[in-house]
Amino acid sequence: MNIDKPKLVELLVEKTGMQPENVESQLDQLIERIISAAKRGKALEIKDFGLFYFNESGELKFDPAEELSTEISFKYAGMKPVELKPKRDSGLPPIDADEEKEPEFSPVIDTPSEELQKVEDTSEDDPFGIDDSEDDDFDFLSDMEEEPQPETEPEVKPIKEIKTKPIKKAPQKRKNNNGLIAILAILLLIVLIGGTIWFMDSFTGSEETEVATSSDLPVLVPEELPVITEEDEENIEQLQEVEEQQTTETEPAQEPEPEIEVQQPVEETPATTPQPAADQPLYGLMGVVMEEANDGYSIVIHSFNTEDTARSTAALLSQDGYRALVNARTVGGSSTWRVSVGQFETLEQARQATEQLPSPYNTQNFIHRIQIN
Amino acid sequence: MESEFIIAFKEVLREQFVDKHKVDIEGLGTFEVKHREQHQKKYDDGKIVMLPPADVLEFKSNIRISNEH
Repeated sequence: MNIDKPKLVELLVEKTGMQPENVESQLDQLIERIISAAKRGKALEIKDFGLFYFNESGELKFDPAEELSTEISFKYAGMKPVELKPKRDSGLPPIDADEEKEPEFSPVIDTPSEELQKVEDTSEDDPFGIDDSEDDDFDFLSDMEEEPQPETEPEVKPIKEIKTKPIKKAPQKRKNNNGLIAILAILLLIVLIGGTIWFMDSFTGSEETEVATSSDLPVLVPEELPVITEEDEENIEQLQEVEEQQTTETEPAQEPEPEIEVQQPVEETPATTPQPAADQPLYGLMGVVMEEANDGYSIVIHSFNTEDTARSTAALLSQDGYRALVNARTVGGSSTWRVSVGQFETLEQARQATEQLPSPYNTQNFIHRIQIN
Repeated sequence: MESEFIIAFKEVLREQFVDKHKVDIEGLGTFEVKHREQHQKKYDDGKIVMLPPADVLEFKSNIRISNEH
C-alpha cells in the first residue's frame, strides 16, 4: 500500500484531531525545517525517529533511530550476528573464494555515482543489522507493550532461514568450528577425569587404613598375638628385634605402627600422655602436641567415622612418640574424624616429613591445615 | 510547529512502516521498508559474520543540495 502526502495528511488529521489545513501547513513546515537545517550542514534529528542530513554527494539521507529500526524489524529482534570464522583462520583460500560469490558486497563508500548504487551501498553496509540485534531486547519488549503488533507472522520463519542458509554458504567454516568444539570437549573431559582420579586417590589411602585398623583391633585383642598385616611387612625385622630386647614389656616402645600394637589397652593412653619437653621445637613430627603450633599443617594418615576410634588411634600414635591430632571434618555431608601426625609450619615441611613415615603412610596420606574443634 | 504534531507524525509513520506501507512525502522523499535477507559481511580484520535477516527502512529522495542552489 502506498501512502502519499494527501493520505498522510488524512491519517494525521485522524490522529491529532486538528484541522486538515493546519496539519498540512505543519507538515510543510516540518519538511521545510528538515531541508533548511540540512542545507546549513546540520542534521535535523527527530527524537526516536531518525536523522535527516545531506551526505557528501549532496543527497538527502535519512538514518532511522535505533528505536524505529528495532520496531520495524521486530520480527527479528534478538537475533545476533554469527561469526563464521575465527580471526586466526583468516587467509584460507577456499573461504576467500566463498566470500567472492557475493558480488553485491562492496566496501567502497567514497565513490560518488548514481543514486541507486548509493542506496544499495547503504543497505550493504547497513549498520542496523548489527545495531538492531545488539539492541537490548528490553527495548523491543517495551515497544511491543506499548503497541501490540497485530501481525501474527510465525516466529519460526527466521529461525528456519538461519538453519538452512549458513550450511549452504559456508559448510567448511561450520566444519572447522565443530572440530574445534570437539577438541575442546575432549580436553575438558580429560581434565575432569584426571581431577576425579586424583581426588579419589587422596581419599582411598586413608579409607583403606581405616578399614584395616577397625577390623584388626577387635579381632586381635583376644588372641593377644601380633598379627602382621600386609602393610607391616617392611617392619617385620624391626618388630622382632624389639620383642627380643624387651621380652618382659608388653609395649614395644619403638613400635612405629599403631595397628601392630594391639596388646596395649586403649584406656592406658590418657594416663601416659607425656608432658612437653622443654627443649622440644615448636613444629615437628615427633614429640607432644604443642598448642601454639596449631596454626600449621599436619599429615592425615587415618580417617574414621567415629570419634572414639579416632581418639584411640591417636593415643596409640602419641605413645609411639608422634604428635597425634584428631580433627573433625565434614566430608560429603557426613562427619569424619581425621587422625593426623606432626605439626608443621609450612606445607613444604609437612610434605618432607611424610618421607619419614613408615610404609604405607609415607605414600598414603594427605596434608591438611590444622583446625582445632 | 507544535510538538503534538511531531508526535503524531512519528506515530503515523511508525504505524505505516510496521505495516510495510510505502510512504511518499512530496518535497521530502520516499520511505520504504525492505526485507533484507541474512547475509555475510566481511570485516577488514578478516572476520566474517553472518548477519541475521532484518526489515530495514530505506529512504530515497530526489532532493539534492546541488539542485537547490
